[in-house]
Amino acid sequence: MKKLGLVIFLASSFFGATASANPLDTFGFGSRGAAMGDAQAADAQDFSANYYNPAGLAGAHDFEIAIGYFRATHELETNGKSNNVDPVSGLVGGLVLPGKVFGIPVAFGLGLHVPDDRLSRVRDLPQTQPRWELYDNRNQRVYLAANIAIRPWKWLEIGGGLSFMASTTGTLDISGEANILAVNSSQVRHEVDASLGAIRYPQIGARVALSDRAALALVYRGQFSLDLSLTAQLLGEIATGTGQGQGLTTAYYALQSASIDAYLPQQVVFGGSFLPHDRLKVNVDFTWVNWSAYITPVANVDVTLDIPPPVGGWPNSIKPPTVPTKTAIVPLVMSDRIVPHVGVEWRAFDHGKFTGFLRAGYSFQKSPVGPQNGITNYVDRDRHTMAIGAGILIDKPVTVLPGDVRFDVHAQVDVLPTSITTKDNPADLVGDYSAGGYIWNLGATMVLGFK
Amino acid sequence: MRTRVLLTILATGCSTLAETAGGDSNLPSSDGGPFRKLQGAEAHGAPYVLDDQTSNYRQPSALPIDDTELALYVVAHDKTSDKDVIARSHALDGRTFFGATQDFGHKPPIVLADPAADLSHPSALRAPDGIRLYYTKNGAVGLARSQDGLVFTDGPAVFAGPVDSASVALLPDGTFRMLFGRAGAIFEATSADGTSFDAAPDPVLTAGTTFDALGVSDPYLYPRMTPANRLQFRVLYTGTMAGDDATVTTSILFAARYEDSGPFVRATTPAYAVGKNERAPTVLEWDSGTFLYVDQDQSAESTTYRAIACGVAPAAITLSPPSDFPDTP
Repeated sequence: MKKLGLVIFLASSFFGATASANPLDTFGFGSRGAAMGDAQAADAQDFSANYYNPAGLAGAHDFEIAIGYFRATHELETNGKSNNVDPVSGLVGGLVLPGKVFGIPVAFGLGLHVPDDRLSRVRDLPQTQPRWELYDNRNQRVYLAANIAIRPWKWLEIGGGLSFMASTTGTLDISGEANILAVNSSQVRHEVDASLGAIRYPQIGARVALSDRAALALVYRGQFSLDLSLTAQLLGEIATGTGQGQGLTTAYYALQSASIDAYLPQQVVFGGSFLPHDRLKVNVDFTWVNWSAYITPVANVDVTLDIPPPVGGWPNSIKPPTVPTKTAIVPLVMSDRIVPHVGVEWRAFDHGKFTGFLRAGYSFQKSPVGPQNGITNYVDRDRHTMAIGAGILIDKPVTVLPGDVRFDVHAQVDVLPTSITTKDNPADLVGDYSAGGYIWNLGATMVLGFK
Repeated sequence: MRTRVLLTILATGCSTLAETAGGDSNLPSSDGGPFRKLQGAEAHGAPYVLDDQTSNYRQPSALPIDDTELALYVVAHDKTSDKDVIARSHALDGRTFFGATQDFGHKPPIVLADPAADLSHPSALRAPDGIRLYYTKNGAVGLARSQDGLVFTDGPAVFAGPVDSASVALLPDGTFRMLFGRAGAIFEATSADGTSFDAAPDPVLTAGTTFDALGVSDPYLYPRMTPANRLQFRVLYTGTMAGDDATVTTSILFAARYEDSGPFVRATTPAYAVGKNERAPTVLEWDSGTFLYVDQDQSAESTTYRAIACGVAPAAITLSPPSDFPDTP
């Protein structure tokens, strides 16, 4: 019976997932954008426009391929001790294919982020367990975006497309025979069937060139929510005696879990890009994030358990299991946020073939997570993102590349100031805690342009 | 060409196996459980860490020394005097105790005894003037002092009682606080110097409705300053309830309060429940977790007796292999 209880416990805890979403929202896309605080909606016209604003693709003049790498290391702590939140790292890349249709400039683009540690990650945590809700599990997944953009007039660019995110689904089946009096000789078979799927959500954007020195942009990124419905079934024979077929009964246990495997709130970005000086570019974005629509990442579990007593009844020493009490889910309350992003780019030198850039950026997101003074522990803190970067553009570096190549690097630090969470219930098993830390994000990108 | 590039990118991403997921280390905790019992190779004789049929070890009290190193004061039955005495053991890793069953040739030495009375419920603490060992005898609370934790000098009773059990803690302001069990409830007493206690008339914890429906006893008081700089009075205690077949079962429960006085608020789930008549908790809080020590039923040759068992929290923690037995008690 212990074995059966264990199986039921495992099955109960297997399903459900922490909400997950988009690594690019957190760490940017490409080193240029990351270095400029992700203020790119009215500026990005390279492969990174696939994320920042697909309309910008229409401004590309050359076929372009980009590849890069970044690694974001979390130094997030509670009570002054590291929680060892996994780093996020992987390849970024993309391409831009510009052309003309009926004389109108059009462009097709692809953007890609592939983690080098895992393609997707699903975790199931009790709602009482502390976790860094926006960083712990959220960014561990593949991202792919496909967009198309047009420029019907010289001052207007419009683009849109779909983004694809990896998600994981699974089922668990258990069958066999459990002998209560000889649990070690029980033969229980289990089968886990997990699959990596994809979900998609739309993104559209527009960019208006006010002049050669100023542009505005508006971008919409859709929300996605993957409802994860999983079923676990256990069907097996339970023996309550040591003799052949003695005390046999058949147990049926079914578990239906409904949860949210992946959720990304919709976003609207309003941005501007300005050239106050021939060598200086200033970008400003404001991103509205619909965090209030966030769905509580806790599994809603329904359990069916049917174990008729064996012939002769249950032995006195054995108490058959009962259906676990259903967990009362406490909603996660989050608030919408407007996130400002500011970025500057200084054209530091321009020596014929070589052009150099220095970049800096800042953004601030007030934590959208509501007070955690009850039983839940969705840990989060305000986030200040400060970034610097540099780039060099080389025109026709080699004869076989009749275009240009650009190397960009970035260093970004997110500061999450430490603050205290207090608990209303003195007997709360987690208790008061401090939380805060840093996230270090380093990366480089190479962009090849073909004329 | 483009296809090859994409395939190369995807292959790079897929060609490595992920490490075990992180994010669960050093999570905040009130150190009130839930505890799981030690198992397998986590301790010699797990979950029992101090086990002797003759000595019948009970009512442990942990005195921290350094991280996982501690001294453990326990009640033992002294066969020679036929009295319950207080003995001391010692572990470097919180689990491998001097004089355990597997530690041949060693036995926890007696540090306090009274040839005319049984001693019970030791409560050890480190004070500015040395190590204090509170205990109960004939329903009163006594106090013995020591500088090394091995040789104690007994003194006059500090509280006349009557008490069934008692636990004393030193508060950050230098005063002493005692919780004591009496007739199925837990009461509180205060003292400026720990040598004379004044008890409040009303209990701070009484029988509840579930796991302690028949009564509460064996308090272990372990206050702390929370990260929010609030003084939190925490108590682990024995809760008694009626079992399914009219038997009485016990479990270890957790309660706490922020106020300086008044009733405690109990946690909704047991801190430790293994169905072995577990009683008399004490804990050792160390850098990465918390050890819980209780006395619970152990069986040998059809005889049931009491032995010291150990639990640990958080439940998912991976403990290093047990250390060698210490050379000294």
